[in-house]
Amino acid sequence: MPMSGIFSGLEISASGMRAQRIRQNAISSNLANAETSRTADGGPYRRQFVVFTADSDQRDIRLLNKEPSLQGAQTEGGHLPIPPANFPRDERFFGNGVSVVEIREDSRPPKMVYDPAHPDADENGYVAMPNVNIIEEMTDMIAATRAYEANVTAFNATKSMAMQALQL
Amino acid sequence: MLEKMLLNKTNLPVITRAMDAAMLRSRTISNNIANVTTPGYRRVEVSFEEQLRTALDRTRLQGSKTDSQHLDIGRKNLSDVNAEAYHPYDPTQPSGVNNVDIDMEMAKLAETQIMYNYAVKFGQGVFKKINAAIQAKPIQQ
Repeated sequence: MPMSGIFSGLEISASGMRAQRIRQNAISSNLANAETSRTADGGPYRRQFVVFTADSDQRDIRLLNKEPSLQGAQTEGGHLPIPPANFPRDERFFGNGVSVVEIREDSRPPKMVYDPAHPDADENGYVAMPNVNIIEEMTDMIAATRAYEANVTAFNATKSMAMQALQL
Repeated sequence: MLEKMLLNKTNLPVITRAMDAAMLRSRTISNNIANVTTPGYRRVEVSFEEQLRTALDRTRLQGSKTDSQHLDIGRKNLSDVNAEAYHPYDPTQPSGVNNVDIDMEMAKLAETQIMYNYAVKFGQGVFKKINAAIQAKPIQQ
């Protein structure tokens, strides 16, 4: 018996919390490296961002929705079986949380800052600085924090419902 | 036999269905909240109340079934009422990336939680009454 019942809601909220935490880690990395002009790959640090995708679980659809299906009755041995009809299921899609598919590097060009004394400066005295915008990162961080809190609230709601069921 | 003669004569079948629906709904809301920042995600909702209302509406006709192969006519049986998850048609994008409205989802979450707690309380009352009937004692408050 797969965990479709009372605990799957918790798993869904946990997947949301995990995804937002990974996003938060990427933001922290961007902020920490906002002035890093040198990396192992050469060139300045590049802003990282996460890509989310909605998970689906085909198994859950069958478990959660009992489809009305017609099946031919066999009243004689010679009858041919008529199998249950298959109804289209696409509108019965049910999700199973969220996951991070990849962590990408921002393709925007690096910021050129004039600083001739810098060891990484080019012949014109310009240093390639990371394409990180602090304000953008800060707003992104607030969004991630709020989304995380929303997931925590959903988690607590599901948990308290599960606890209530034990009171029956 | 006990279920047929005793439990099914109470409100328990309705209560358990309402609890199932509330649990499924909390799952879909959790899923919508988890995907609040996923671009292109489509919100999932649960239909239940309308089905239950028609199943409980005694003014509707119901075809009587004399054979297990007969099809339903008119009013649904209470045992056939199942909460269903579906994608509503909603092209609006309140958040800019998908059609999940976080305020709406949080409100629905609170509502679902209260509905579930209410169903549990109601169920407790039913069991209390059955216990009192079995022991021929008045219900202790």
